[in-house]
Amino acid sequence: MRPKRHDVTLWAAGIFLAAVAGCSGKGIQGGKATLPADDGSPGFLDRIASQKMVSENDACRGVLMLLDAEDQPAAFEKRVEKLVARGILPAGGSHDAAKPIRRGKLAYMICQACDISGGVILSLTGPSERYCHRELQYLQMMSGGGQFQRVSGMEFVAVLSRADIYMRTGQLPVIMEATGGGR
Amino acid sequence: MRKNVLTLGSVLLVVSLSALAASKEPAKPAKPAKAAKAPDTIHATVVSVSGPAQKLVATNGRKWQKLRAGEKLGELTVVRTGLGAKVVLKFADRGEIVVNNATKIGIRELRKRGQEVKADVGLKYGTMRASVESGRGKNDFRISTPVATLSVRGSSADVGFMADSSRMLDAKAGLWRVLRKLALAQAQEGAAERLIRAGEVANSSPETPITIALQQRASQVYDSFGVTMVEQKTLILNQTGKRINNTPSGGTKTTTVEPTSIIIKDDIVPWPPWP
Repeated sequence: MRPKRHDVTLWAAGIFLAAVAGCSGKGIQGGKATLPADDGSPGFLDRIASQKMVSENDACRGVLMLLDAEDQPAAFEKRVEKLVARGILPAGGSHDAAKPIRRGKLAYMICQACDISGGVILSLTGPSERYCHRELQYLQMMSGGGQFQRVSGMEFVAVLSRADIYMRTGQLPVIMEATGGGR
Repeated sequence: MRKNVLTLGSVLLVVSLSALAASKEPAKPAKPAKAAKAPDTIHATVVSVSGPAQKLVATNGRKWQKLRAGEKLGELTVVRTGLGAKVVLKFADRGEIVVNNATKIGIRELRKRGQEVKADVGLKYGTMRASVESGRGKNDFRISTPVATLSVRGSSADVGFMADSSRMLDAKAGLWRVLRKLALAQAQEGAAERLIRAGEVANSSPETPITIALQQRASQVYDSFGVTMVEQKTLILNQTGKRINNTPSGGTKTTTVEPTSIIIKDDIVPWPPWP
């Protein structure tokens, strides 16, 4: 039995509406949000280490400090623009200053910042949160866990310090390895 | 004969007179017992600084200052490093600590008594390489992490504490003694101490790697909201950087024994309150 013409039209309209609804979630939420003036990266890490979760705003500051050793006091949208321009964040993604950063999103940013090409899937399909997360687990830069989980402050500091060492030396010392990763 | 008697009498007279004189002299005060010499406070010297690093001196309120090479750091000084940083500290003539990036340490005690040097360094987060020389005298060198105290007399190792990893010690030389705080608090003497030799890597939990990995996964699956106060306490009570909630079926392991050497304020601290 062939589908009727108006059924096809209804399906097409539904897909269009779903796509529009999906796109409406993208963009920057809380773009004007600012952060406390940390005293350089030592002060930033010290503050973050005591937090039970890390916001996307703080995560962006951390990655910018990883890349440039500093982050000028600016609104969240400026940080996102900078990171998108450098390819650290995907263009057109959804970002919320107050939302806790997910492990997958952090892994994506770290992978891009450290220029980690990854394995076959990551090379063929390009960077994605899922495979960047798995790649960082393989490299012992992140511990085991799911890509949608939130990141605690101490965990963020640990991942950032491993990324810092990896960027400078291309490897991790044994003492810094995140045990129990995907290896 | 008479001459001898006179001589003897004069001798006796002299002796008795001198005895009398001696009895009239004020008694000499007894020599005070030799007091135990108090240990001298010594300093750690900042050999080199690269990258952003700051110090906080206990007497200077809560103001962090830039750390510079050549400075001398005393007890109750906290040092924190940022990304891309590296600081080398020399502890008198006995040891050296290389503080790596993203690390916070504090010098809790640094004293010298005779030839013995005693040092206690707290590590809140991050990693460092500690080298201790035993050739110049006796050492009591300790590194306290939130979960264990590492003690050494002459050797070298990488030491670290990261909340998402249970790795704690990578011994490069000599023999390290690992004292687990909870076991000490519970007076489980057999379980409280482990010896780690050169070439061995110690996790903060004396379990097989597969068990640690499974427990890590269990804790991650169980709670995706980061480390809360309760979890931090559980983390300490389980002597590991990772077994936040170690019951795969759910629920937090509870125990009534709490290590007395750890103060829980707003984070995990191996030393009275971290500034």
